[in-house]
Amino acid sequence: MVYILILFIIVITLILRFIIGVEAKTLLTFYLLGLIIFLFSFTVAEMPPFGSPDSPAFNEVPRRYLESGVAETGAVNIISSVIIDYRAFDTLGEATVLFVAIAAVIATLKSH
Amino acid sequence: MDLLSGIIKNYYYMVAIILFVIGMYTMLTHANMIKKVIAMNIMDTSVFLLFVAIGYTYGGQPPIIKEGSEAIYVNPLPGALILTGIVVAVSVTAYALSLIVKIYRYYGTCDYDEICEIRSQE
Amino acid sequence: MPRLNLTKRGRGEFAIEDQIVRITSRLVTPFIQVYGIYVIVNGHLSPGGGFSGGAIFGASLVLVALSFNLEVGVKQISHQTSSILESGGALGFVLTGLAAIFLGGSYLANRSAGFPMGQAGELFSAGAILIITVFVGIKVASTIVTLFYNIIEGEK
Repeated sequence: MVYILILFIIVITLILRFIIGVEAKTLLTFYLLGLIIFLFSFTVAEMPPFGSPDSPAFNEVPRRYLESGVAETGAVNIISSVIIDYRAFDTLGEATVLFVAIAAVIATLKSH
Repeated sequence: MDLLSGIIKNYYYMVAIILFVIGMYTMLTHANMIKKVIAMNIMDTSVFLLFVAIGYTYGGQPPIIKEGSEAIYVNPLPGALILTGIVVAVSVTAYALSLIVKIYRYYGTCDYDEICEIRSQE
Repeated sequence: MPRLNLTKRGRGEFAIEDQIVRITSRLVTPFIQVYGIYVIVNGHLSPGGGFSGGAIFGASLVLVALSFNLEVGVKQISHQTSSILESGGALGFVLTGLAAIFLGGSYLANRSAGFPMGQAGELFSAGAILIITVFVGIKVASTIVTLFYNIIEGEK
């Protein structure tokens, strides 16, 4: 089965390269990207099913944030309370990243 | 096959992978540098889609708690992670565009192959 | 095909002199700004928050600068003002964290530091979250405006 597939790919490559005249660079690009899609599709098939309530990303940490989020922080929007109250230090780092990016843009464009 | 049924069950993740590959193909083949920056944005967007799609539960409401209603809520953590990621993507795009402006003022063209030719002749 | 009315002034500066674009942007800009302020201030009650609301507000200022020329845009928010607002937003974030230390909690604490909590679901609730959201909104809006001014200007 695998040998038939490899033979098929080789025949298609020879036809496209020598009879139709597609460049070798284009063929190589398409094969590389096809290989990436093929390898990643194995990963996608092994992942937990989409939307199942017992996925490993939904363990006790989001449950704690959902149950006692309103009582501990007072904000109804749980995502706001996560990024500003429970994980406020990461938001401080993100504001710093914005600031440094703007400083880099000004330093690049306005250097006399 | 097993592979095909797995892909069709998790089609959100497959779409994210295909978007990533589309962005990568555009970045590799087109010579105009602004198109490369757009392709980088497409790759960033595909990663955000993959992350947010992991946090979904069937029949889930957005995580805005209403009074006294027993509803299943969507996982809030991937959304909070992606907010930081979006800001970082915007910053990197802004810096890349400012670099392109400087290169255009110096070489007079936005084309990567022409710039390589000009540099190899100096 | 309708021709775009562009006038060239100097190197790299264009001004769109189209009546429809100017009148429409003059009508629509207050609504965009009110919507942006609504998304920022209701960050803890509905989806939104500081980053998206700040982007909407900054986009309205970029619209004014694009549909008229750059001088009109700079008259709304000058270079100096946007620079001060951007640094002020980041400084406000840090100072709110320090205020939590002075009030008796740890850095960037909310309930254990004694910010006024209020009732869940009201506008003035959840102490430090509202203050930090407004500062982050101001910062992001002025970031977008500063980026636009720096990239669009020609050589000195």
